[in-house]
Amino acid sequence: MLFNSFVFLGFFLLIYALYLSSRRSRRLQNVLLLVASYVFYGYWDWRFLGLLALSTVVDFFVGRALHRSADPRRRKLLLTVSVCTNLGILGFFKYFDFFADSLAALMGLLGLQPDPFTLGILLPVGISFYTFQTMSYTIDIYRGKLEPVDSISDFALFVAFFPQLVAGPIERASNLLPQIARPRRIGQDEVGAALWLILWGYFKKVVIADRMALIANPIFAEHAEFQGLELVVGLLAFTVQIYGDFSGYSDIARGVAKLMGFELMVNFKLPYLAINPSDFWLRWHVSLSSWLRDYLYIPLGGSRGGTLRTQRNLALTMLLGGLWHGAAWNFVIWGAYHGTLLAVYRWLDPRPIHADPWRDRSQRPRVLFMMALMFVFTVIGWLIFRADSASQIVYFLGNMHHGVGETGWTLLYTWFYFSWPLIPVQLLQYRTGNLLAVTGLPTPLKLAIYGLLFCGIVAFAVHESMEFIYFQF
Amino acid sequence: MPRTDQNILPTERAVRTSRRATAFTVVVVLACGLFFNAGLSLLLSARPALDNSTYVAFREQWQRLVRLEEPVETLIIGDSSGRHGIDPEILDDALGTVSLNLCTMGDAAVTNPAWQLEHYIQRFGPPKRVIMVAVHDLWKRDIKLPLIPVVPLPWGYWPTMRAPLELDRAETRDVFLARFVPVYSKDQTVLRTLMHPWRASRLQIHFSGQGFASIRRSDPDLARSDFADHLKWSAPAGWRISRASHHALEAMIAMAEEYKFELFVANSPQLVGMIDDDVFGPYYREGQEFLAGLLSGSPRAHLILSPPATYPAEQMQNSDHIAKDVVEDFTRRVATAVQACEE
Repeated sequence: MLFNSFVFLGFFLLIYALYLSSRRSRRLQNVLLLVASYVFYGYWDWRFLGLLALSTVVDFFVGRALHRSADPRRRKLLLTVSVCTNLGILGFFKYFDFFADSLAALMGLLGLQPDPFTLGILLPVGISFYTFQTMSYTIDIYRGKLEPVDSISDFALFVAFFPQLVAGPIERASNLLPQIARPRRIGQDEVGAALWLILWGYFKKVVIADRMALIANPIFAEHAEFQGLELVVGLLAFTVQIYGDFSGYSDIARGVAKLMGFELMVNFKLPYLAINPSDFWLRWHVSLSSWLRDYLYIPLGGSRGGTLRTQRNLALTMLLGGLWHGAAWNFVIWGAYHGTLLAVYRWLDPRPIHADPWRDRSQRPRVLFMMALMFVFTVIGWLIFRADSASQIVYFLGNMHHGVGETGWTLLYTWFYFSWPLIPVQLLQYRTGNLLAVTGLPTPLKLAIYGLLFCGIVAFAVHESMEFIYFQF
Repeated sequence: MPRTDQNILPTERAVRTSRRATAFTVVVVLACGLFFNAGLSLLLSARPALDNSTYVAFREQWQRLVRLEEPVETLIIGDSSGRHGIDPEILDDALGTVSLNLCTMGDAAVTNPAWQLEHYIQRFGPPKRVIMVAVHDLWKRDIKLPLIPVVPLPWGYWPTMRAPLELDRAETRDVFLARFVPVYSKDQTVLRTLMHPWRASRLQIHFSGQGFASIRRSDPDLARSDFADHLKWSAPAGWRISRASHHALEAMIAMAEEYKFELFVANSPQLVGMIDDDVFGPYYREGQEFLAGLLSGSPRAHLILSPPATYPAEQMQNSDHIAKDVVEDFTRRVATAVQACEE
């Protein structure tokens, strides 16, 4: 069930009406949300509900057993069971064919001719998100940072909560579980914020991202037919597409959750205004980058233990972060690319800025330059991310400066036409430091913006529902 | 190189609001959508060239019928071969009549001419004669769904007509959206208009006051390739008539008998040599036999221009559209055939 479908609209309105009508019983609301979440997930493919349930049951009981046990060896064993179950599910369904293919290719390079052995496994939607989410629960209990929940239905809701089930944000148990366990209050301020998030999220998805896809997809599909400015616009279109698509989903998810009284973590903090690689990862897919930091980078030793160890930890974290996005080598290389950017940046050991550089006028040129430079690095990263082959990357890099191409200006116009709304909104958010800044504008201006966004969604939405890019991860 | 830290990352700070303000926002946003939709409806009706020529021709001809103030003696209905082929001024001269050309296009099939005829009769009573012009492959077609909401008859008219049309729920929904929610249904037109407002200004088809639209230039290459396409797609499958077209033709015959007017089914002009082709010829004759058989059941129905009037490629725009140079010839041939039947 896609957020950008009429089916979801009907589904949500029904669930929301039932949710509000049962507001006197938190338990009833939770059961309703749990059933709704399973229906939401099963709408794609009911067979994968078993995986969701398996992950839930294993981690629920492991969490309780961990809490009861004081024996370090038993606790370690229990944690291993949880991690192996989740990574086993993830590894089998997401990576089996990839590793089998890669192994066969490697053996082929060594002169061996193995029989190809892949299973053609269908990837369950959102598997990377909910497995990481449940793992954080058992790891936090193991670390003594979290108490296990008593109710398996509450825990099941934590795993399957439909707004963020298939594309995040990857919630922490310490944030979401307490909200599930206590009665929710839906304040008017939150409803106001939710309306903005939903409207802006839909606009970013169905207008900006989907229109960008119409530019980027043909160019990446037939890259040899394009050159110069056309390739540049194709790449910029994908850059805007992936941001609009993923941040749009996150905004809708957070807005929908807010309407029901839940507060999900902010997943995007103006990533294309980052001024360096470290800054970028504090702004892009924050729920994943902070997960990797807390459950991978820091356990590996983090920045303790010298420069080389830090660089190794960074590289390993980013490689696995890249692989998390998909079972293909370009994601691994993309992770390595960002790992390298971070490593080089740390090696340069820059002087930190602890104040808002924008407010210090003398810093502005430098900040603008840093933003532009980081944006270029980010765009190159997206080329690696999106490319189907190494030759495509080489073609893009080798031909982007060759002229305009037949359709270059038209594509550029279309690109700008649909992506410009990002500029004023993000500048306002940046200047105020408030992602909800639009909600605080004078009422006539705010209503005009809301009205334009709504009309834009109705008029410019691509009618054939396009899946969110991050569903495949 | 500066490094940032989390202190300067943006956060979310909800602004204080009230239930009333939230409700007001929702109402205003929805109202914006409604006004936008209404504005687009007006814009699209005021500037028909914003859409494609097919839609324009169809809409223009129906509007001509709706705006008609005086009855006519001869009504010309049918597809685009008639729209470009019969000039009412010439026909009026040849037959001593007053005529009106309401021909639209092949996508409107036979159903739409039947609807136009019925609507005309409801407003003015029966004309003296009706000339229905049809290309050989019109008969197998069904009216295209996007044209149904363009017909300016009251909502839900299609099952009530003498040539009725059954739409399922999804089709009815699409017709509703197309008719009342152009912001959604005419998304491509809206997109083009808003993205390139300076381009949407020219009317692509120029009609005379009596509904005739001439083709200024011939296109011999297109005429030949169009015939090749007919050979490839139409002829091998054999001639057939769709259920809707069959009902529509029967409805027209029934109206002719009930209201006592003459119905002439005229074959469209054709590229010379087509009916002599080994593949096309038998296919075409099969259709002629069927039509002749059906029309012979009524003394008021006649098949004319069979065999069809033919022209060389240099005088045609495609294999059944004639250029303006031979419009007079074709129109006079129609008039002669009509006179012959009436005598």
